[in-house]
Order: sequence, then C-alpha cells, then structure tokens
Amino acid sequence: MTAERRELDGAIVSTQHLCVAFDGATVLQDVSITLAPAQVTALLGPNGSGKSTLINALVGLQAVQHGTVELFGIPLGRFSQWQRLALVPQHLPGASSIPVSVWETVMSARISPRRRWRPIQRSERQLCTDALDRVGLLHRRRDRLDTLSGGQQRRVMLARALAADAQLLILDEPTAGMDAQNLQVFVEVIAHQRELGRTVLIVTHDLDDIEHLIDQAIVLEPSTDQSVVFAGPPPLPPSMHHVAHHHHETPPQGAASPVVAVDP
Amino acid sequence: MGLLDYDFMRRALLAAALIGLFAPLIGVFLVQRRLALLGDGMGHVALTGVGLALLLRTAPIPTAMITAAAGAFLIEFIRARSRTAGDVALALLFYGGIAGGVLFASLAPGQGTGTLNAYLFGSLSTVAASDLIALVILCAIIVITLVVFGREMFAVSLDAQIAATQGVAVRSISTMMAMLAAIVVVVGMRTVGLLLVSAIMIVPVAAAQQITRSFRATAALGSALGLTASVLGLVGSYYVQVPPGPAIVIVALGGFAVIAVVAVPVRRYRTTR
Repeated sequence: MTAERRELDGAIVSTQHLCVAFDGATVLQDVSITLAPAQVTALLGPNGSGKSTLINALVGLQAVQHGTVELFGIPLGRFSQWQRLALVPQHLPGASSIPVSVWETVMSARISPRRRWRPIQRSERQLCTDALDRVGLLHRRRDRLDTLSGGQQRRVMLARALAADAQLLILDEPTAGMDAQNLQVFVEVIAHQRELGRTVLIVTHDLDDIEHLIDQAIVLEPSTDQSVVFAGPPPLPPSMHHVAHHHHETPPQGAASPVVAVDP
Repeated sequence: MGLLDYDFMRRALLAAALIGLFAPLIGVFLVQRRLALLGDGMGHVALTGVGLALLLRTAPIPTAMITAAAGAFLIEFIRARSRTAGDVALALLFYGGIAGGVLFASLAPGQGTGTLNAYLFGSLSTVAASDLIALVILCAIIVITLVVFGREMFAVSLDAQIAATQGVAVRSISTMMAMLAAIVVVVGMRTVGLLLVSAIMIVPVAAAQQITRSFRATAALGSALGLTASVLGLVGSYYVQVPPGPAIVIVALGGFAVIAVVAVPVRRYRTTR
C-alpha cells in the first residue's frame, strides 16, 4: 500500500540519510536525494567525493551502513523490477578474451531471469536495432566490440542501456574521453530520453554540453558532515563552478576547491 | 577388420564425440571469465573420486562426479570469499585432489597406481556400456542448463555488475557454470583423461577465437573443432597405439596452429574491406 502511494507521489529514486563507509572511512554521509519522474539529474563532485559509490549504492552493488534507498517507491532490499532501470558503468568493457560482437553486447540488455523461459521476441530485436541506430553504430553491429574506439565503445554501452527500454537510466561518467563527435551523439540521446519522459541520472565532470538538459544538479563534496552540498536546478552557485566547468579555462581540479572540514 | 567393428571402439568414439562437442561450449564461458585453469583443477579434484572408487570397488563415474561437484562448489565459495587468498586456497585444493587420488588408488587391493593411468590420460578400452548411459545423461543436463540459463551465463561472463542490475543471480549462475565444468570433467574422464580434460574445453575455444567476431560464433566453431579433434585423435590413437587423451589434445593444438596461420589473411581482408 505505502509503496504504491509513494510511487504516485512521484519519486523514481529516493534516499534517506544514506551513509556508506569502506574500511572505516566514510565515503558518503547523510545523503538524502530524490529523482522525480522525467527529470534529468546531473551528479557532480570532485574525484573521491563518492559519486560512483552513490550510484552503486542506488542499484544495490554497494552495501549501505545507514539510511534507506527506494527505487520506484520500493525499498532496495525488496526491489525486483530490474527491467525498469538500466546502468551504464564507468568502466569500458575493454579487451575481451572471447570475441563479443557489438550486437551481442546490445542484446545482452534483454537478458533477465524473467525472460528465461521465452525466446527473444522480434520487438526486442527491433529495440536493439533502434538503439544502435540512435547512437549511429548500426553498421558496426557485426564487428568485435573491442575493435571499436573508446568513444564508440561508450556509445555501444549507451545503446545497450537504451535497448533495456527502462524508465530509469543511470550513467556513470558516460562521456569520459569522448571526442566532440561522440559527445554530440550522447547529448542527442539524452535530449531524446528527456522527451520520452525518462528519468536520467548522469555522473559527470562537465556540465557545459548538457546544462540545457539538466533539471536538477546534485553536488557532492568529500569528508563533510553532509556529502550533498548542493541540490537544485542549475546554474550552480559560483563557488561550485569548479566541479562542473573545468575543462577549458578554469585551473586544474582541486586548485579552486574550498577548504572542507575533515570529518570528526 | 575396421575399427568400428569393435564394440569398445564404437563406445569410445561416441564418448569422445560427446566430450568434443560439449566441452568447448562450457570452455567458452571459462575463458571469457579468465578461469581457463579452473577445469584443470576440477580434474585434479575428480581424481580423488576415482581413487575412492578403486578403493571401495564401486563405479568411478558417480564418485568422480560427487567429488568434482563438491570441488566446484568449494572453488566458487573460495572465489566469492576472497580474491587474494583465493589463489593459494585453490592451489591447496588441487594438490589435495591429486594426492588423494593417488593415495586411495595405491591403497586399493590389487589395483595399484597403474590403473590410474587410464583415468589420467584416457583409454580406448575402458568405456563400459553402462558408462555411456551416464555420459548421455550428463550431456543432456549440460544441454538443458545451457538452453535455459545460457543467456544469464553470458551476461555474468560479460560483466557481473551489470548482470546483477538486470536481476541476474550472479552467485548462483557462477556456481552453475562451475558445476557444468565439473560435469564436463567427468564426461571427458574416460577418453581424454583427467589431466588433459580441461584442454578439450580450452584449446578449441582458443583456436576459434582467432578468427571469430562474436561469442556465439566462437562457441559454435569451438564445438565443431572439439568434435573434429576428439574423433581424429581417438582414431589416431587406435592406429598409433598411444593413449587417446594426448592424441586428442595434440590434434586440437594442431588445429590451433592451422587457424593461427589462416587468421592473418582473414583479418587483413576484414580490415581492408
């Protein structure tokens, strides 16, 4: 009952007072965030501020010390509707011992225990074809994934997530190392997902190209009593520009960081 | 007299065909997960089961299957518990497997370690009619498991973390893959032998991946190469009078070398196309 009610209230993802520590060192402290339906959220912060840890905690890949995570209004421990979300991890697939084709990589998004007993449907193949077409790599579908460039492999992983046809898309630094052409494809994909009313969470170091698509920005800082130092619609307060606009004119990362209090 | 006129050769050929066909289908997952040596260790553990069977004068396939399955379970447990200490723990398990096998076989009255040779390197004459039924059942288990869970195994082999966010039970699927490797070890025990059985899982796959571009094609070509190597190796061992295991593995390695040579112009053609 409460689960359905909360979903009507709208949160696709919500955390309450989330704390995560590894080996006794606190990585995330008192994180309470909400992702509303059809919102695109950027998750920002310097290296070591716990962005990837937060994402992993949201999808159950990272154990949580305190606090709660709810996906679609359901506590993470009881959540089983995994087909409703798709994750693009930070790492690239990289060189593989066994050849894996671009097509197989994208089709792997359709694998689920729920579909164990039924063959692949024609509509699922169409989803994969459309997803690869959208990232402009349909002509490479028969090629080995590891013969593509890094930026192209990121586009394939993006297509893989699109092929999941999920309401929630979580992307961990999807543009790292992308050149202008790959970045353009990425921006178009996010804009399209926004039009479709999907909820998107993007971890990034660079808001410049996607700021116009962002409904909410969340900024994390390491080693504070509260990891979240800003949550709201862009633009960011001037003191936080270094976490989001640093790739051309601003000094190297860290140089402009405010001094932060060390956790007691 | 042709070799097919002998009952024992017909049984040996069928057993070899089964292992050649199915071992690479499991090996492709092991190689992708960088566990190529797992099958090797499982063979060592199964040897203890064979030693026990000799000692207790029971059929070797059930005891080998039980110890290999227990070994598979233990290996997955150790791997899940720790990455660093896991390596040493696995080595201990594998040494224990060989030592236990030789020890039990030596204690068996009237058998001695000589009998073990047939299990270590395969033998043309030891596939009994009752063994064939067991092998066919074990292969049926492999096929059914692959049809139902193969896609989830593929997802786990690609990226276990992403698989987990798709709802795949990564630990259970990993254990299932180790169990299938244990079954392959037992299926190959009679013809290829326990010391070389992992080679028939790995070598055809390693050969195939030099010219394939997809996981599915690698599995299919690996399986075809495994079947060819097993049958040719077995027939060769009959004429040359050597144990079939080494003959099969040498033929498979020959296949690897041939494909390595063929792969160069194939790749060049693909890149200039």
